[in-house]
Amino acid sequence: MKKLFGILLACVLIVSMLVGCTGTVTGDGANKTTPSSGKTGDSEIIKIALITKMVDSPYWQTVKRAAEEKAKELGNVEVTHLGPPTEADIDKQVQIVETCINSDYDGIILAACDIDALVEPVRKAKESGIPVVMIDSGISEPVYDAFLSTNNVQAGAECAKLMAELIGGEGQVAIINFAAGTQTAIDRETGFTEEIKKNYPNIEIVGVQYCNADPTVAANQATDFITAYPDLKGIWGANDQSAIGVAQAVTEQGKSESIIVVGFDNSDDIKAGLKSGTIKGTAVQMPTVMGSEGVQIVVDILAGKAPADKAVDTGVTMVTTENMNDPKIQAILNQ
Amino acid sequence: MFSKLATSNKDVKTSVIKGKSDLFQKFLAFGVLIILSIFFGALTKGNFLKLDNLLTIALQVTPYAILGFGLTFVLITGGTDLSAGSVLGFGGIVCAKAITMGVSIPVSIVIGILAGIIAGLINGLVVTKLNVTPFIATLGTQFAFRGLTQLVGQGKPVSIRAIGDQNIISVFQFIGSGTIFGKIPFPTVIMIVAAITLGIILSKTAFGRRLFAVGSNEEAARLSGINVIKTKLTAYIICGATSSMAGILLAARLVSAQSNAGQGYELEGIAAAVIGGTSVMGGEGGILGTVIGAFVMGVLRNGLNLLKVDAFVQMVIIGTIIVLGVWYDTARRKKQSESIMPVINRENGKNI
Repeated sequence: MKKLFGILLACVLIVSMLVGCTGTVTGDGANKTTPSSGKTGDSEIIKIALITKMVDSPYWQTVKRAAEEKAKELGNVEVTHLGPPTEADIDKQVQIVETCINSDYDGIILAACDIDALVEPVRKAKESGIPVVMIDSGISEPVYDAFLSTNNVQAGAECAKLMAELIGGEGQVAIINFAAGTQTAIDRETGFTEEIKKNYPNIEIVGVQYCNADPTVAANQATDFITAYPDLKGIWGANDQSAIGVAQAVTEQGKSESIIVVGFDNSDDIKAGLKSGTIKGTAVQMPTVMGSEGVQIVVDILAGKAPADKAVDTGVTMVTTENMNDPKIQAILNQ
Repeated sequence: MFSKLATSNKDVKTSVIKGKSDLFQKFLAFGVLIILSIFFGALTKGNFLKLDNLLTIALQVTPYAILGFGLTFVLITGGTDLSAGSVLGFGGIVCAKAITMGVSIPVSIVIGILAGIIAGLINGLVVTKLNVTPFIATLGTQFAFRGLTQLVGQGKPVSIRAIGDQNIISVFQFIGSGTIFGKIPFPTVIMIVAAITLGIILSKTAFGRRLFAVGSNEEAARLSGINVIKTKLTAYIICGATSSMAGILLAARLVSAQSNAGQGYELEGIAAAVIGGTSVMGGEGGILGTVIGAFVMGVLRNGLNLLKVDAFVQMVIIGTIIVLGVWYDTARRKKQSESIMPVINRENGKNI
């Protein structure tokens, strides 16, 4: 038994080491992007704080890069990327916003870790005259200046259009959605079904299943759809895990020629699916637009031009097996 | 030491009675399975009973069944393992990570299963050495192992396809969804082999008898010289191993290990075991029952899908079936303890 405890202790030590390492790497990384020139002309330079849900993830790094590029393009803008070590550190993010209000930032771009906790900090920033542009994840009260995100209803409709085009405008289609009762999932499904109902009378949606973002469950449900509807023409997976599961089921059933799979989002597995043709198309969200448009809108507000509509749709790009090798699309896939 | 226990008069009597009721329970679950199959076969105009669909069901229930095997061991000791789903994810992602780091597939699989064994060992130690109630202990480790899984995957899936080595991809894919002997899914073959091995361990070995003894009456087992701690530890380790095995098979099917794989699967495994006659109170159960239980759930899901039943209605039906299964189990035990007065009444933990 002592031996077992020794092993257990060793495991605990290793784990704590790992945790310790990641802790220092993530830290509270404030990366100055455009080095401040240090000259006196500080008043001319617009300083923007980009506060994301966390710092060290490819998604937010993409947003940051896009914001930096926009800043460089505009010339007189400096972007500082801030954020808590993990998306769950809501308090930390609140503190960061409050610190930003007290230092000399001219504007804030914020992806909220929590829809309620960030309302007060945003209100405070606005009261201190700092414009706040929300990206990706909003807050429960519209106290901000603008909110840039994917309009999921519109994105769902885009998927429906692509599906309709690929199956030739008629036949049976099934939906594997990733969750029941989540706003994003509801919006995408509504967009898809409304579009089909409105514009494609010859397409029948035979059913919706919810896979809890579990690709194995999605694969099982898709297989059962294929068995139940021998004439099925297409299956839409409403997020990346659903789409991967659907693609797997279609491959296992030997139907990758006759059943069209359309997905949503982008990941290594989705890319592999597009390359092999098991996934015919996917809707890719645009974090780059969030980054660059976020900077542009802050600059506009400071110049006295508030956006006409608070909600700004950053849109999706439909990537298909046809267009995926286009350099522009490649850039979006690898953003 | 254990042969002495097995030959003691009282125990022989209990095990004979238990054997009978087990058989009845299995017979009942098996009967339900047959009735469901005929029912769905008729309503789907034979679509359900097509060989392809039956093999599909076999592939679909495989992970739940394998998970259920380990859980059966733990449930028999009177414990539970709510972390099994997380350990599934952990084993799968560790194996996939090893492959992406250039380790060969067989070695990666061993590493993945080892990860599960260590997880099971930790569960067992927390339950036996720290004396934390299994429900709470494994609820805690459920979070811990999920966290570790997310750490290994950095919150993202670990994709084997991203390596781009066609050879590795096709071998790994075969493990998860390949077929042998014509059409039989390879994971299902693994499940059958595991069922036979674990079934023999449970019903034919001294260790198996010790498990039942510990689950029936821990104090009596201790007094008759059984190393209760070691027995329980082994049960949790087996559960960790089968959980990670299920995880590796799932990762192989998708050629990608998801960091959220297996969320909630422990409940599917427990449901399969309970429907198949394993008691959540401990001391009763069997692997064959768990296979049948898993198939009852799988047949229900598949059949309802083929009948085009709404997703939400399905949840209500499946939930009701689980409740009925447990209710039947409880009612039967109550009847049994009333009819066998001389046997120790386990519910009260004292002699009547």
